[in-house]
Amino acid sequence: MSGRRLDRLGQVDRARPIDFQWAGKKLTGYAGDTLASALMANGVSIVGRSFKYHRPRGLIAAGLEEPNGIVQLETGASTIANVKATQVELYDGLIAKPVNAKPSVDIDLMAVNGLFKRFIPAAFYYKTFMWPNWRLYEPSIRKAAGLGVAPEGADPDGYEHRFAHTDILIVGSGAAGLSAALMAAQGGGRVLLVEADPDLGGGLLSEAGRIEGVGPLAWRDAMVAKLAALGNVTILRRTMAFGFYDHGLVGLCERVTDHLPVGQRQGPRQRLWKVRAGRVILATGAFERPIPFVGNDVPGVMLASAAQTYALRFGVAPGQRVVVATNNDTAYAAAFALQDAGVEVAAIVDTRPDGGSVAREAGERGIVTILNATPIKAKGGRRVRGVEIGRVTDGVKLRKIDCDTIAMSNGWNPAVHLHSQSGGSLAFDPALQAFLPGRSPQSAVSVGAAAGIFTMDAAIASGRDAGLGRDVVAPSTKGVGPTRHFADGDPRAAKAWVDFQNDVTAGDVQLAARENFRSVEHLKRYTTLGMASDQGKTSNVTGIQIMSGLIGKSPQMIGTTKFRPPFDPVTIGGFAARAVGDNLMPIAHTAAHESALKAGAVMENYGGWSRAAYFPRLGENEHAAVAREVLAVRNGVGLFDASPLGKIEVKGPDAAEFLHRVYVNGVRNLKVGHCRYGLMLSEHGIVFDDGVFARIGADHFLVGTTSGHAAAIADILVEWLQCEWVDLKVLVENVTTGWAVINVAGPRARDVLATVGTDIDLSREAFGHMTYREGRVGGVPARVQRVSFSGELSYEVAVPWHYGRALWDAMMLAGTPHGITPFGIEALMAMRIEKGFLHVGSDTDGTTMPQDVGFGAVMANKVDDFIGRRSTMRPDGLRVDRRQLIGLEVLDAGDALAAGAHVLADGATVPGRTQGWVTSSVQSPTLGRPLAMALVERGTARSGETVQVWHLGKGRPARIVDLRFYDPKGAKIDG
Amino acid sequence: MAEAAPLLARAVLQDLLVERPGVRLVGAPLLSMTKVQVIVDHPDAWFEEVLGIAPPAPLREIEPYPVVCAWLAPGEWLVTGAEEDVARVRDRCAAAAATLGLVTDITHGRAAFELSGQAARTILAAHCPLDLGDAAMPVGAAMRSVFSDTGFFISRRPDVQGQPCFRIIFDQSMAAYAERLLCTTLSGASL
Repeated sequence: MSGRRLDRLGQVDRARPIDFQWAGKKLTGYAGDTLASALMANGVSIVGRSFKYHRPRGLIAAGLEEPNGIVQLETGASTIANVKATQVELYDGLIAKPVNAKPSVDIDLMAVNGLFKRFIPAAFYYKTFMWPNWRLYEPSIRKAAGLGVAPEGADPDGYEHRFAHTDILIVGSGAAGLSAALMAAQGGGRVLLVEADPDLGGGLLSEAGRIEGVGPLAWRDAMVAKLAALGNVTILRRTMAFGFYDHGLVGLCERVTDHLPVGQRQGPRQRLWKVRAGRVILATGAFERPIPFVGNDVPGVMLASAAQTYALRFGVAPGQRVVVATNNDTAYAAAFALQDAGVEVAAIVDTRPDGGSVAREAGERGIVTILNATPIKAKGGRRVRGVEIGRVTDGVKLRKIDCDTIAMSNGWNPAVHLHSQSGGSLAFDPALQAFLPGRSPQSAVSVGAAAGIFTMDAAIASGRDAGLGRDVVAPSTKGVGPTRHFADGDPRAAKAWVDFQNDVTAGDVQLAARENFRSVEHLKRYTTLGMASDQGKTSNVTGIQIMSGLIGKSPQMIGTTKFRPPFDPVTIGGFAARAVGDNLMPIAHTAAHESALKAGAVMENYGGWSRAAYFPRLGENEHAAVAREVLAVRNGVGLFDASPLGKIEVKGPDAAEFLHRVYVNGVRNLKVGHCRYGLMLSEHGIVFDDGVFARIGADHFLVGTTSGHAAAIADILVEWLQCEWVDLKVLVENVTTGWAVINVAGPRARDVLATVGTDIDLSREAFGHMTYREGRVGGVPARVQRVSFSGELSYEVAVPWHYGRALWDAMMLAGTPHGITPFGIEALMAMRIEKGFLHVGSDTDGTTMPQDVGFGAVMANKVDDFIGRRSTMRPDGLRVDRRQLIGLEVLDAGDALAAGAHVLADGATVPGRTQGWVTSSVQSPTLGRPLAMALVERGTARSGETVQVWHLGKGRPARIVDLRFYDPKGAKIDG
Repeated sequence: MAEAAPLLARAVLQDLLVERPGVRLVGAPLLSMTKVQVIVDHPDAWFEEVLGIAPPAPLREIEPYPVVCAWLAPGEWLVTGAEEDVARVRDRCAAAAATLGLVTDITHGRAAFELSGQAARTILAAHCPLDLGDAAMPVGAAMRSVFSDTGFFISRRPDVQGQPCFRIIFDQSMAAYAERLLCTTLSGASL
């Protein structure tokens, strides 16, 4: 017989029926139901199939520890895989189906796996499928295993983050949590109380009896009313604390709209909170342990506390006739609650020799209590039909009891996860057979059941003490009775489940011990015990207890696996929040972005900047556009938006000395108004950045960096000043985004700039190559440098950023008579390769030193130290066979070499040891032939030598040449 | 010959204004900003001597009419206000500091907004890890922090109609990103 709705009991709203679909069938529940309780109320006893053997499985728990009720929620892009039915609030139109079952949970063809169970024990895949290789079998095994299905479409939901600060954070709103919150709030300060459930109360929601003279819910309501009356308390429901990190940081996941019908959801689906708490009170409760006996996974076997919850909170009877099996007092309360709900309690089976007062109450209620006994075997396949009871001492069968439900309790595990994540220690309590929280290195304390305090009065007292900031002292505990485990090698152990979600049995733990996987971490990896979405909340301690008995080591010595966040699964969307689409990586736009778009630019992301790659005209492909742009610059004039170029002001009496120590080049002797190309190294002597720096005053420099390194270089400069050279009087300011830079280049560049209008003398004599001038351009302040990356006459005109677009437009207008052509990054790159100019990042890698790129003489001539110099003189830096940057001239009639192609010895016909590789390559529009730069062993000494350039199985002959392919004497660049 | 001074018509900046129940976001495109850095032995004394007022305490800003001076770091302040007022401060500081100071007009490099209203804190808390409560961030508090994936400056301005008001300043290259995030959060769904 399956579960049914009770006529009374529970907090569901019987006046509000809710229609939903389960596995294609239309069913009805009530407002206040979870999907799990509604399924049970509708007599659904098989909610899924097990992970590995595809055994029929029913609900075991009523909370987040549920290992079996894993469902696929909703459909299409809105589908969510692997949600626990116990956590899904029922709403109108909900659609759910089981996972891991084909064609259905009632008839699952993969259940055939169970017939071969003895051949596929724990870790069988480590031992089999070795030949010919694992990958041959992997697809079909993965198809057979696994749980739900991820949606194929993009997630239609939105998510967001929220930061919060509070003086005291209370996690859990049971009796202890509410007590702690009230005391804390009355003491002042900000209090945040979070509850994963939609309703406050925790265990009170399924509690019978009375608290301080009133019923549990009335007591809760009074406490909530007192909290609401205080202005310093924030209460978050449907909010799971999933992680406890350093410095009081606690992660929360708030389910904002998950409980609403899909069509009614608005705003973020979930909100991920990052809460900084001055103090954290953990009132997270405890999880009941299952008993490992044969067939303990047959639908109808469940935790006693779950049976009580379904009856008292949801008004659902889990069955008609129940046997309660326990080793502690709490299951008696479940038995009494079920009896009061009209469920027949066939017997209470207790492993203890004396059940004490609760057993006497059972007797008074007419319930048979069988002491010194434990369930040995559940009878039934698709639903429990009875249970065999045996002596706890030796397992000898005593009797069989007919029943449709077995409610079991093997004791309780305090939910110590967050405490452990906080860095708190754990201590095994032999009496409770559970791990209890010790001290936390953070300001955190556990109260109530989370601290192993299970009586109501003591739990409330612990909450109040914690709320007042006092130490929490757990009263002496009444221990649990013994648990019978199957002996090593007993074949029945292979049918006694420990981890329901991962199909791990007591026999699997025995196998792990026999095969010497005895560390708790090895046990987990070998058997998968404690993995998957429930992370072993019902299984870990039982597994440790079994291992303890097998290897004669105490559970304390065995310890637990590491508790890591998240405590319960959190959607990836919650972590991503707004960081999707355009917000995934913020892209900056250049000053003349809009004008470039108007000119037809194809924009690409270069180091976080959206920049024009090229400006194709109608019918042009990239290659043709780039070639046209290059030739326009070489023969006339072109315009380039160089705004992202790094610009850092360095000023102070010691500015020159400072930069002298930073650059490979000398700086002290640079005259005011002059520029110099400089190379920066990391401390490891590796080329890190390059650029042109200008001396704009005796004590004032403008340092140019590559676009992608502007912020990093500014930070590095400040770090050197603040941490190493604190005696230097230097100030640094990154002004990259304060100045737009428009580069006008080409033989007619001077004409264009003059037409725009400037008070700067542009004559060659007055404003030569590698000099700097300040003045006004187009009527606004400007910093102009005569520097060139194209090899032509070139001016980099910097104006305050918001004039940048106007300057671009003015240049375009002024250049019209000269056929001015906007050009993009790709044309610039082509031109710099033609000139043989280094591009850090393309022509360098994580091993390139200045001596490899032609700066050996510069270093040798500089007598002073600079960052990275010492590292360049390590033996590796002095190797004679270092790869050096050279030019390559292609000797066949082919087009450009592939960047990254390997340079092999001349005549090579098969791939062999590489001598280097092509770093930059272009089909030169100017010279009409392919050019390349490469890092090649002893390259500079091998000028004129022929090599083979190998790419994708083909070799091409090339000659090592000087890399200054175009205008080697620099006549053009000097205007 | 092109126009002699074509650039004087500075690009018109969008004056953002978004209002939702409980919150108001406005751009401040005309706010002028200057960063003052000095490397003198006693920066606070220097500040007082040059500007004639006591400098703001760490993590605070002061409002000696007509500009606002915010503490950024030891010997480092942000001066904001109308262009001519800030220019006056800038010139005075630059002249006084000479080689021992770096006084930078960062107006073009930053974008400023003001966010006010009952929900202003909630909007900011979606992106900023700071404690924005009255105790930790009273009127006059000023600091640098992160706003989602970018850095920013934030100060608590005098309340507007009894509700908190924050000035937030981003690098101009990240302004569109910040504005997009703010407007998304402002869409009302989060409030």
